[in-house]
Amino acid sequence: MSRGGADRTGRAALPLVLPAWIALGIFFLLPLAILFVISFGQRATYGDLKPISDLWTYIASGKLLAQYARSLHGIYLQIFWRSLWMAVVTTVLCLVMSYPIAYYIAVTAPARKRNLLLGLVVIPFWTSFLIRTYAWMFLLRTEGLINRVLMGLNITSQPMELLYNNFAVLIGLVYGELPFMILPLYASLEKLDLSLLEASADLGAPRSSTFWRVTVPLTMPGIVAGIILVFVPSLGQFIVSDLLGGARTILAGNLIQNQFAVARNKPFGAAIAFELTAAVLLLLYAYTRYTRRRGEDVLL
Amino acid sequence: MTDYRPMSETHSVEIRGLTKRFGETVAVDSVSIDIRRGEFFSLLGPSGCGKTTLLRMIGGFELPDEGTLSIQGRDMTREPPYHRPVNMVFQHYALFPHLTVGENVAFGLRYKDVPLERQGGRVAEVLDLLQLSGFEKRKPNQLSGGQRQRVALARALALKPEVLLLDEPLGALDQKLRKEVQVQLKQLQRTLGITFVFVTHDQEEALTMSDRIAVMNRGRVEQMDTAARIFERPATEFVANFMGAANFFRATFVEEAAGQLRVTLAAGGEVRVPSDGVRRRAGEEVRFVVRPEKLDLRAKDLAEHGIPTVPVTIEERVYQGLSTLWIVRDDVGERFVVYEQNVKPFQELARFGVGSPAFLCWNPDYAVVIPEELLS
Repeated sequence: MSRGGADRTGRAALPLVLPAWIALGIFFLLPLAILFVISFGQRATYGDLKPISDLWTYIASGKLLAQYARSLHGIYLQIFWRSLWMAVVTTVLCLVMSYPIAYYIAVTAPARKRNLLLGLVVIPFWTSFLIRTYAWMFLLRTEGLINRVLMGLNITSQPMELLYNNFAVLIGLVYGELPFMILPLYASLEKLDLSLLEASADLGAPRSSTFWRVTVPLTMPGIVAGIILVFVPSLGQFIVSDLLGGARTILAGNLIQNQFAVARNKPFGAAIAFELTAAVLLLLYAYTRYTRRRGEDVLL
Repeated sequence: MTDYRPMSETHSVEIRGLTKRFGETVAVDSVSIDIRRGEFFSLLGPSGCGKTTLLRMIGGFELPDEGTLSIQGRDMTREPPYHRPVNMVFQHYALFPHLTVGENVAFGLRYKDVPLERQGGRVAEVLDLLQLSGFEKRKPNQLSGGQRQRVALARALALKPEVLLLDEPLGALDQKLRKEVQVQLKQLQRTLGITFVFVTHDQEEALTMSDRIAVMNRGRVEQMDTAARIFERPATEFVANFMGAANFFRATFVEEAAGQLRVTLAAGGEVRVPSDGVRRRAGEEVRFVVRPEKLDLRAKDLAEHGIPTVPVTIEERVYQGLSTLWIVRDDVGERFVVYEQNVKPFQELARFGVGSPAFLCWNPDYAVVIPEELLS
């Protein structure tokens, strides 16, 4: 991690790393600190923050942690739980779909096609994510392209309910996060020494054994990076669930966004946002501890 | 098929008309080789000669376009690597970086039906054989080059293969270590009695270790013979050049008598060379080689004693410690290299100055006639 790097390079490197620390402080740590402070406040009538006259009476009245206490109510826990399993399913689906794609681009495909294929993976980024999610609405609607084709081919007689449910949200999540899984997987597969796969076959391992005993362990850095890059944003997603999920499929991201934009309850929104951030940081911390104990390279 | 069985008792690997193309280029061009059981066989040649491709076809990493390949009498032409009774030591060792030395060596045992309780013993045994005991828990990146090379060898030998394939396994070692490992490898091969197929571009390495050598050039085998015969009796100009015998003499055939050819040298003078059994007519061109260490430089003309002699001018003298290299030129401008052991008294080592005349001579038995049709 960066701390170890700073120790090794010493004071001489300080002018070089200072800009990075300042940027990190202004754009990440400072907002987080503000969020943290707000999360202990109370909502005023018009959505502002209620001023605190006496801190001790405020703490004694139990209002300091009121927002956090509220977030533990059943209805919110349900939303957190749904966000969690949706993020997990999204991550698993992305991993299962991306590995063969990344493997094909990095290993199987001829070298001259590699850049073209990578370009195809990146091309969706040229269009706004919002617009691409709207496109899915047009595809999945009852009178959308998919239903019309299915009915046109007489596969179904009635339009299927494809939109405004968990299924639609999962499609949107997987679709949006797929490149973030493919790219790190590609990066580590591309570095894979193919003679190791030959060595494994030479030692008698059938293809599947070679995959699980050599390819997967050696591309673990890419797998972990992909999981983090997909899981963390999926947990906080609100555009996809807003557009494709309808009212019943609300996720933690929507809850936070609603508190700030609709309910105008900034302290409560801040409390949930902070809980989510803390949960993610905790997961990353657990991961670094785990890899360090196994004596492997820590990726974060 | 009928003559397969008796053949396989003496042959480990039988290669018949094996051809491999990569697009337009023919990497291996209808090669046929029989590798005997328990022999140290080397595929020698410059880079791009097809030796590695041939080895990879034996290992199963490339499939041939034509021809057949059998190992221990069983047809293996299209079998995947994991079904072949051969193991390979890869050029850069290809050790699994995420596994310890012990895990690397044990990697293939489960596919060979070695029961789990016996695996530990087998690993310890092989590590002991290669003086790697105590390194079981290390990762490959904590080892030196020589240790890595031994782990690669141990990993392959743990599976008790019928044939061990080695793809330039000493290329990454420094010169001194290389010499040591060459001797160790040869000893190991003799004790284990396993057939070794060794790929190298280093002629000295091939000569040191091999029972037989196949010299390859442009996908074809130029000559296949014992190390000594390849060195002393090169069959083609390419082999002669590649084995460091750069002295080609041009002559005209006069007559054959008593197992010797009488020829007139291009530079003048008549010499005798051993007959190669080919029928010739008078006036036909004959070319022969004499290895640099078989040539001698004298101050006097020895032609009248029946010793082949060519008058030359000294062009260069290179003192190399153990030896001296002389470069000389005859009257028609042909250059020759003389390699002389520094065993003469000190004063005589520099007995010819650059530009001074001398006489190049050799024992007539050391000349090797290169067949006409193989001159490239």
